[in-house]
Amino acid sequence: MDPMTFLILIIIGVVVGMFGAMLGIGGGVLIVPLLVLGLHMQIHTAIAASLISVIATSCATATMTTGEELVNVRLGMFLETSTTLGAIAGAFVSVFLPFNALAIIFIAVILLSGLAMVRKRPSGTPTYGKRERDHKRGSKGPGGAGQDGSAGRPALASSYYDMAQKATIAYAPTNMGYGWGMSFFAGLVSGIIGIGGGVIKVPAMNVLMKVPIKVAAATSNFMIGVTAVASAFVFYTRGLVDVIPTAALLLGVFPGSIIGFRLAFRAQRSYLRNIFAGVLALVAVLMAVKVLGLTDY
Amino acid sequence: MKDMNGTMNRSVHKVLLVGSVVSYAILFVGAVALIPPLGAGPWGQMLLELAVVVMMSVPPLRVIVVTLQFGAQKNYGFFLLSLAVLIILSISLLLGMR
Repeated sequence: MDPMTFLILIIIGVVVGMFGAMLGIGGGVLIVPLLVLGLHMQIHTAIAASLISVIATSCATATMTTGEELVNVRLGMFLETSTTLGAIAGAFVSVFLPFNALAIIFIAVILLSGLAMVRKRPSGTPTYGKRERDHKRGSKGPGGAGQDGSAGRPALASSYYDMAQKATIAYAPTNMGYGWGMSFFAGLVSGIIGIGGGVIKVPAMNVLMKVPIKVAAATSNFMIGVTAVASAFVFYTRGLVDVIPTAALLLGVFPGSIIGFRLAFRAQRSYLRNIFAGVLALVAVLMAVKVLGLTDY
Repeated sequence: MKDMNGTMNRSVHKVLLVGSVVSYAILFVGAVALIPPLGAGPWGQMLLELAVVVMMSVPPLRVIVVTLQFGAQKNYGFFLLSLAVLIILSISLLLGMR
């Protein structure tokens, strides 16, 4: 690989890592199309590189001390059993799927990610279920939605200190079966196209399982590294990891993620989300053009 | 049940920090070793491969720490769950080699 290409890959890694950390998503949705469309890399090799970059992003952002108390490790381990199974299944499906099939799945996920970016959300307000809101107004301490015994899993109940609200928020996840199923699906998609899966896991935890959004995002970030490893192992042992471009990406993604995490607190995220959604839409169009065979690139 | 998440996350944080720093250091050295005339030898590629393997090992190490902590806290249900995740990761490695 020539030095200029190596340098370009490092820069791509920095940019993708920064945006990924600032916007709370892994960079996988951008890395694969950039490698396939920009560097004409074989798609399975690009997916493998993307998975390893997701691992680096997960490690880099998780080393930041902020959010340490947000991760629900018990919930993460419970969901990880299904996510890793899905990721392995996805990786095996991926190695046998042709380019066009993978590209179509990718376009669908890119469009969903773009829609999630521009979806309006209440500023600074976590998405709680009614039980959590009722509890929040009252006493503090663990128990949350499970206090009346009719909903919530006490074994997975936890609490965290919300700095924005200056209060300890208690919660207890519900709908464990649905959450487990959605996590399997997130792992499956992650293994097939080389993304972290957070775009599926975070809404699954927040909307289905009634986990506060900050906890869902932090727990998802805790999980995506393990999920990516489950499928990365399959790609690596099959010789689909091209070490030099992957290493170049890692050299950029790691510091980019740290910088992006630190900038996240100052940046106008709604503005960035709209830009990122526009970039994703453009990438989806370019991938569609390639699938339809309208171009040689 | 007492919330152990804070304690657990600090140990996991240390594993992540050390593993990530070691991997990045090896990456950096490997990249430098690729620069000509050093790049003519095998060292650059070998170091980069090692760095990628170390990076891939960090999340499983994280799960091992979590598993051991659940065991130390006598939280056997979650100990078994974490152990299941480790077994699944091992199966992934073995299946990929076939």
